Amino acid sequence: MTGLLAIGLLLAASMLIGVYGVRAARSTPDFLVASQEVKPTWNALAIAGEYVSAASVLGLAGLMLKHGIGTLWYAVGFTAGYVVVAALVAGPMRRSGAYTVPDFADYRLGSQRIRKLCAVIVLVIMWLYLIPQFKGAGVVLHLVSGTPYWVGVVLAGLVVSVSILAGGMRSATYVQGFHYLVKLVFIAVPAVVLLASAGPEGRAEALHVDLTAWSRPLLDLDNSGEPLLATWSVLIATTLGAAGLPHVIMRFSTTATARAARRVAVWVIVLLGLFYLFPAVYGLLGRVFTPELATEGDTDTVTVVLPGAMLPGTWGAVLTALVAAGAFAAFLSTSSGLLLALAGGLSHDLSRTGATGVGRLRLAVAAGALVAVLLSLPAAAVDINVLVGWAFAVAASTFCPLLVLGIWWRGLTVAGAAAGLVAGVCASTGAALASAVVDAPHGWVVVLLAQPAAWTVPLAFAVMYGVSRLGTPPEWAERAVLRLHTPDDTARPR
Amino acid sequence: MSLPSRPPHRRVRVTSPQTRIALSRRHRPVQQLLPLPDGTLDDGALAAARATFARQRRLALRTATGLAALLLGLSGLLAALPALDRITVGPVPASWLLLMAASYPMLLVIAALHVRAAERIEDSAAPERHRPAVPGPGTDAHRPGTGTTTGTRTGDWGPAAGGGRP
Repeated sequence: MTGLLAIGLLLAASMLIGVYGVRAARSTPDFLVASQEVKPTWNALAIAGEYVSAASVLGLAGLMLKHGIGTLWYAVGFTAGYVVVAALVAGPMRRSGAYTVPDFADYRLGSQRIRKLCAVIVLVIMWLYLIPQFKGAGVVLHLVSGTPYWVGVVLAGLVVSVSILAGGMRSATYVQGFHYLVKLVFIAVPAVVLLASAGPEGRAEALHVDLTAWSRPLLDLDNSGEPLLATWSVLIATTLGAAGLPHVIMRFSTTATARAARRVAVWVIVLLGLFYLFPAVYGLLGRVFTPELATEGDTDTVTVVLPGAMLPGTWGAVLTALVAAGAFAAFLSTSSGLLLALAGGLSHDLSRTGATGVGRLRLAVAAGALVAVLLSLPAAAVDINVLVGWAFAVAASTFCPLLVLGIWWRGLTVAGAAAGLVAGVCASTGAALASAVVDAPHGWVVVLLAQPAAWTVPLAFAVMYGVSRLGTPPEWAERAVLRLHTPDDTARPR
Repeated sequence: MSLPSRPPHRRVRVTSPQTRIALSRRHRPVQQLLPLPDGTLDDGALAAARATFARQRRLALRTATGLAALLLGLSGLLAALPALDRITVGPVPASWLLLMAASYPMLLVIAALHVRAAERIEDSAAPERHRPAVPGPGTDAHRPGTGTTTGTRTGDWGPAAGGGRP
């Protein structure tokens, strides 16, 4: 019950901060991007808070228990993505004035059809990403209170949509910043306590290298026998995917200038690097103290189960409550960001109806959450990080090439972008679905189906480049590109 | 820049220009291209913008190569040298330590170096752009005054001067 109390307190605090920020959220810019008044420090905290999802808090340790140390490459890729964001995307994206990826496509290519195509891909990525978040909420609530899985999922959908409907992005910024701190403290403090209480033998056993594939610092997917290929494919998906995730890209329009956008991305690397030191502790100790999870049961629960298994009594209960609240914060802030991006796609880029901005956006939030909840109900058995990995692979095979070529190459044409996007989304979702359905023989085929980024990303880039070369870009394309790199905001009056 | 002319007896919602732009985004005609921020685009400014772009692109390529070398190189190193699993630094195997903790500072260094270099390019580009070949009176007046680039999306005000558009 301590766990329920902690989650309740977290929800109450989030709501308070949300209400504090709600007053100004009356217009669409406020709702979507907080009218670009957010301070850089809060922005970096909020981006990290939104980004550190159930995949990082629960999924990383869970997958580590199952597949080994190499799982941590996911975390490295999640962080490395912000190097790509800082270097290739953040500044120019901020200068384009686009809120969202569909907006950017419209700015750069001048085509409503591309905008709609991008909006559809936004929906695919956001739903793929939302399902594991809701799954995490269902699992955590089940663990701390014994309610059935579906109760947690439905409750999560309700809480997230209501908090967004009330506040929008302006409040979400502060709530998400707060959630980063909650996640960091509530994962780090129990990790340190557990390490201390494991005793010398426990620690030695956790750090013992045995001769199994588990101890190899490479990611071997489904015992494919191709660990380096699998590691590289995951790295490509996570690193390039982060640079194409719609809710991440959207965040950078809340910075004041292009320069600030880049610097915020660097701060995010610091915050993520700090956070990702801790999930490994749960994976390592989980292997020693809760080995049964790896064979039977849900490995995604290890972070929440471990404190109780190691420390019976009050201390175990308190630590469990802390971790559960941290996990809930993870799923809350990430899914509110995801849902906002999803709703933006639904209401701005896809709909043709004449309803006014904020009302339509609220409707889209509710609709998006409903679909995500329905999709999450049968997903209880799927690993969180597998689904999140697919979302990253789709983003890496679609929006990453679009943004990188759109920002750095004037030759991109509408036909080229459309062909590349379609090729990327079909190849990556097709491969992911095939890996779930087909029982492929072991080896590199398994890797390239389960984690397809290694071939779908080059494919999307190649198609986008090749088809663009067949046509000619419009005359104004060069100016559209140059504008993204012209330092207008350095000299602007403050 | 007032609201599109409406009959006077209708209630007019008073909103900030930004809000209005955001709300009317979907009424915008086909994409309208922005002029470069200086408003006028003489040959000098265009050449400067091209030069800045080329420098930024070279830097971006360098950073991307560095990042790829770090990620693929580190994982390749761990794959090629299983001996790193047996060497321990304190109680922790060296290969685990490289993966768990050492990669983040290196990522931070790459990103920080890039941002510093990119800002230097911008700093050296800014003065050049302020020396246009013909310093026309409108050069600064046409500069969109605020950082809210939504406000510079000229499409909402109808045809704007100077934008090269299809």
